[in-house]
Amino acid sequence: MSLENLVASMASRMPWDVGQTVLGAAEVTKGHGWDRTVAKFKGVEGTPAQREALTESLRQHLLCGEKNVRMYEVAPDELEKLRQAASALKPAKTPFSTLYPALMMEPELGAAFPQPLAVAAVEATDDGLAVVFASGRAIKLREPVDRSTLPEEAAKALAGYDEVLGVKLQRLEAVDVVWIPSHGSYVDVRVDFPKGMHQDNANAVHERVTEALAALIGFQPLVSPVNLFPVIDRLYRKSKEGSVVELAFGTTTASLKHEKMRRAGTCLREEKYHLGGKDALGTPIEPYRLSVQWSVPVGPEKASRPELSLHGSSKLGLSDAPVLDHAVIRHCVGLADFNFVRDRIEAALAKAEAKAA
Amino acid sequence: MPSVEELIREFRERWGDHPSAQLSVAILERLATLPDDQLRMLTFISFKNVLGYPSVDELLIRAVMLLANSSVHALDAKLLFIDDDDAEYELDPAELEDARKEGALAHPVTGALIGDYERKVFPFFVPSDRLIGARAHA
Repeated sequence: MSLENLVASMASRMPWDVGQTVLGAAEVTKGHGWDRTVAKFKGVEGTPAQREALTESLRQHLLCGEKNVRMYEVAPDELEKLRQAASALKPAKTPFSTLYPALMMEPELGAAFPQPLAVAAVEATDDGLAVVFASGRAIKLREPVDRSTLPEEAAKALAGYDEVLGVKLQRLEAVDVVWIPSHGSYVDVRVDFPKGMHQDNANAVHERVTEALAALIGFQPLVSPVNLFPVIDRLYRKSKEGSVVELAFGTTTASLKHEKMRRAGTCLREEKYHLGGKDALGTPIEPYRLSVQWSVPVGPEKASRPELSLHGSSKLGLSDAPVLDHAVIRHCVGLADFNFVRDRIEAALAKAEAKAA
Repeated sequence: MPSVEELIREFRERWGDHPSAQLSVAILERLATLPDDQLRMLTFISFKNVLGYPSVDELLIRAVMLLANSSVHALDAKLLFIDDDDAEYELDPAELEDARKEGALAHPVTGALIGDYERKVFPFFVPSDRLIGARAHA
């Protein structure tokens, strides 16, 4: 696979900040932004070392980059049955599996559109087994139009508007993963969740992935996703657990608060206004939406900032049995930082369960 | 490391005749009294508010810029990029330099190029290491 294909595939799914880290680690000099980086490597084969490094990074990103995650608790015997069945799966013969881990791009992707979910690869790592599904997907994106790029007449006609938005149907190859760990009891379904994709669409994809898996292996081990709502409170109250960068909560004074930190490395748990508000209340706050960032070393003098978002709604905060069935994990450079975040969720789940018992 | 008083003296000696000097000194005096965790993001509006100054005018802007750009170096200037989804990203000065050279800013997450980036980039200020040291001196 050439550097051109690898960089174009990365550009179609990696956040630019993650991409810069990956390119730098592979000693590939970036351009200015994704488009110019892709253009820079048109027709470039690259060195074997560069290709190997980027192929591995891309492979890992397919498994864990920018994902909407549901976790399913599976009994040990059922889990073993699933592991056996999944390891026997073979990739379907599709353009997706032929190119894997590189991704299909326009115009080839458009010609093959829409594509149903198909197994593109079965990946075994030290930590577990991944069944990798690929498919064509369209996402409706609303993007601001830069008026300086419009013809004079068009720009004049739109002069009365503060902002001009264009709606774009972006077709991309989506990669959704069923992850079966070597240890532990939680199986993940990790659905690609690029910026701009709506949660309703992710929910539909989650259903399709579990159905596709069951159709392939002949039974359904993934029945009911784990409730992650208790993780919100658990992580918030654990003072050394990353930096809380976003928190929404209700109070008994009949108010809703949505707070965010603006600078990396700062934490809402210690922020003066937040603490002052809490101290003024005689009752605890009731969090329903949380984002936590960690700094995870990913190489010599390099750290990534993976972010976990557990986004419940105020309706959930009012429920007597709130259920949140998904987490969003972004900005992972590879499996190491993704697994770090996943471990934090598992630890919080274990404590929440112990508390409930 | 000089104390805040010494920093103010140094500032007066060098910039005492500047029309904004009095405001700069007032800012230094006020910053000396605030806790560290309340100095993590100071905008021009913040300076207006903490001084009880009527508006963000040229005099106030110059007073702040003197503290950031003169040899006194009491403030570090930082940059915040706010995209069309209202998501905020702190920019490295090198990113802005690249944007000026290339005519567009690479969005920190999407990597898309933004031509009209100048109106989406906002300055803010934090105490410099020099001012932090001076505050600790007290």
